[in-house]
Amino acid sequence: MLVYDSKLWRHVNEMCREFRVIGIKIMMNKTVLLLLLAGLLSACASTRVFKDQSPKNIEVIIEKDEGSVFNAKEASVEVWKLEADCKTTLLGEVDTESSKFKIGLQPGQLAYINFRFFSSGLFSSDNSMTYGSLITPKKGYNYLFKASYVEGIYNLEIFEKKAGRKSRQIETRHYSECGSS
Amino acid sequence: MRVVVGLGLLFVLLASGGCSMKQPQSAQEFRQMLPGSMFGKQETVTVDRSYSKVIDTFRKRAGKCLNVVVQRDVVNRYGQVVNTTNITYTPTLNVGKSRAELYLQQLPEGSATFVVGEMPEKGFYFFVADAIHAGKNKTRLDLYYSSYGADTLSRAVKNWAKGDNLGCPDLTQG
Repeated sequence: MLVYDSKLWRHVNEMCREFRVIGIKIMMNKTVLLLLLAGLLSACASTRVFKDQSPKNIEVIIEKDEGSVFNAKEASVEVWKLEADCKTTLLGEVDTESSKFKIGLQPGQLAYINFRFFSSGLFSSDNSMTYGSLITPKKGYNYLFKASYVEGIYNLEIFEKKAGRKSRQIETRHYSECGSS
Repeated sequence: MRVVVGLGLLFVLLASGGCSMKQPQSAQEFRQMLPGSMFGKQETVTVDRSYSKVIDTFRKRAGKCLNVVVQRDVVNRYGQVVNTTNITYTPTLNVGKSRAELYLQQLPEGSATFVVGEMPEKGFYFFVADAIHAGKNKTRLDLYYSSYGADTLSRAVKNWAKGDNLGCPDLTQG
């Protein structure tokens, strides 16, 4: 398991994303290209993809600006596991190809779901915005995370629901609140 | 929050100070000095919501949304970070019987910091919102801010007052 964090991890993620999105223009020396490809592939292989820890009990809905050719808007979701001493372990990054998906988190396990919205443009500076919430899923409950970043305003709402009951909104809890309750 | 910028911070600081050496040392001075500054903006809106509800929302959202640190990295042409500045935002909410003020200060720290004038203890005054009781279900908002750097914040605060969108402003945005 990888333990948080390093700028390297973020850079590797960004490189992998760019690799996936843009591809590589074959305009360089073949040896350099092969080395670059090998490096990128090995780095991308180490990107941890989140695997469900239990039956799917958390639905995530993401709303974001559309972006444009000149200013790409992307979102990523990471799931972290927290120990009793608040030490974090990255469980993985969730594929956000779709703006609506479900994941399974083990009931009783404290986790942090981190949303990252980032933009990069030809004529503007790169910008990334991260926020998230701690969650300890309860057995028999389902959760809905609604995360948005629209026109510079971000929001995260969490709803908890038990079968046959009405859902209720619960407070988001910042990572720094780990250990305080 | 993390943002990679070139000279953005310099502009924000100039905007908040109106390019003068004299920086506002209180919310009241900020209100008085803003109209004469380069990007100073004053706006008044009235919302159909009671003063107590508006203040309640301010109390809940200001603590959650405005206690943030923004990291600004200056990068060279190879994408390497050459300087980092951390900007700590501190909100203050003072509530009276029929009038309240919410203001935000920004404290820049780091090697890329370029400070113009004397900085108050918790940082430069960046944004001031006065909420004033204006009837049973009416509250007037007087907003004072820089149009460079605080537009998103002013939209968020107006949304809070209306009670229709409780999202937080991305303080890296203008």
